Amino acid sequence: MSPFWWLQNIRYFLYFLREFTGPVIAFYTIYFLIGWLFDPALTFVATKSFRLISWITLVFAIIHTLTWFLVTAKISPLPTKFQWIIFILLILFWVFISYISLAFYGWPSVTPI
Amino acid sequence: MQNIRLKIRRSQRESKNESSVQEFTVPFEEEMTVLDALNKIKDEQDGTLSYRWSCRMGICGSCGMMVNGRPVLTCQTYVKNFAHVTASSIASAATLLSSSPSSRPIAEITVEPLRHFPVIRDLVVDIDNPMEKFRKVMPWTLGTGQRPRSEFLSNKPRPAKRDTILTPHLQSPADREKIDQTSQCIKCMLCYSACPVYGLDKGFLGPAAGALAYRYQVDSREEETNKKTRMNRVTGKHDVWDCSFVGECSVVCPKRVDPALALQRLKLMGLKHILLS
Repeated sequence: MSPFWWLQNIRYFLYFLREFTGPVIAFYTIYFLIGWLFDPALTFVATKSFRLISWITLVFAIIHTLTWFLVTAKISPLPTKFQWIIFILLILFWVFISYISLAFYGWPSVTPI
Repeated sequence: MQNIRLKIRRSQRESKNESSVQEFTVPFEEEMTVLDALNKIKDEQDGTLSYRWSCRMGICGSCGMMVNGRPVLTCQTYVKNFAHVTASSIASAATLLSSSPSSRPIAEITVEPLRHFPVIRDLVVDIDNPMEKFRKVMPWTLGTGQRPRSEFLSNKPRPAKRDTILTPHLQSPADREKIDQTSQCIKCMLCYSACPVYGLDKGFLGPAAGALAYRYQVDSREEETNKKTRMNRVTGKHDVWDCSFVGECSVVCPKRVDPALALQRLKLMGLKHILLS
């Protein structure tokens, strides 16, 4: 089998992208932990390079989350035509948890709990 | 008269994986399928061309092949859907440019044997591997009421004259609906051809076998003992766990069985089985 089998059609490519988001997130985590090890004050997070890596990883994390929400909806016991309900509920739950997390850390535009 | 060009990959098992592409030109007909075109070639041009086919109506699963890189049933694939001239090589383009418009083929179709299977000859592949997996998942029910349990477990031969009244095992419409979708599988092997995991690891249970196992696991007529045995068989080292939900198997399935979904549900059942056993 060719090592470039994932380029044969768009669905293979999207699958490969979904799987590739895992290593990207893992790399970011390791990068952050090593940076924290050598810089406990976390001054490196203010650098432009780290912010760029963070934004790129955020994009991959969003792709990772959305694709796995789709998979979760697909394996739900609901009939296929109602699986979008699970997908929407998962996104709403994700938004809610994100809101709570940001509020907990005092995000300026969010009213603290 | 309009023509179509078929580029068919041909080989023999004895030639140790060497293959060549042979081109044939066939007169185009409006309702012609790729299988019709192959039959025309075999009847009128080259009787040695080897391929499987049977029902011609998408129910037997025999005629699965790669057509323009996609696994399809050739009896359900219409030539007119490819009716645009495709120049896949400089040589083809030169031929097209040098020929008169009326003689140019209106479609160029590449036909190859199903991917991920050893080739026996031309378009005929060896499907023994997935067939073994179908047998492995025990595609039968040990329905209650059909045979006394003690008689089955003792492995005694059936008595010549039965003195036990066999009661029918009734199934509600809701029970029937649970197995409807996965019961449609015609074992055409298109899903195995589409699955990159199977392409890399022939030990993987595979989409069709997974769907078959799921179909019998959720059958209301199935005995618990059979269910446990079947789960033990499909939750081995590779088996169902190798599925990473690519989903292409469900896309190519001509009967909309959705084997990807069946495999994920089988994984959940397998996890429950392992935790409770």
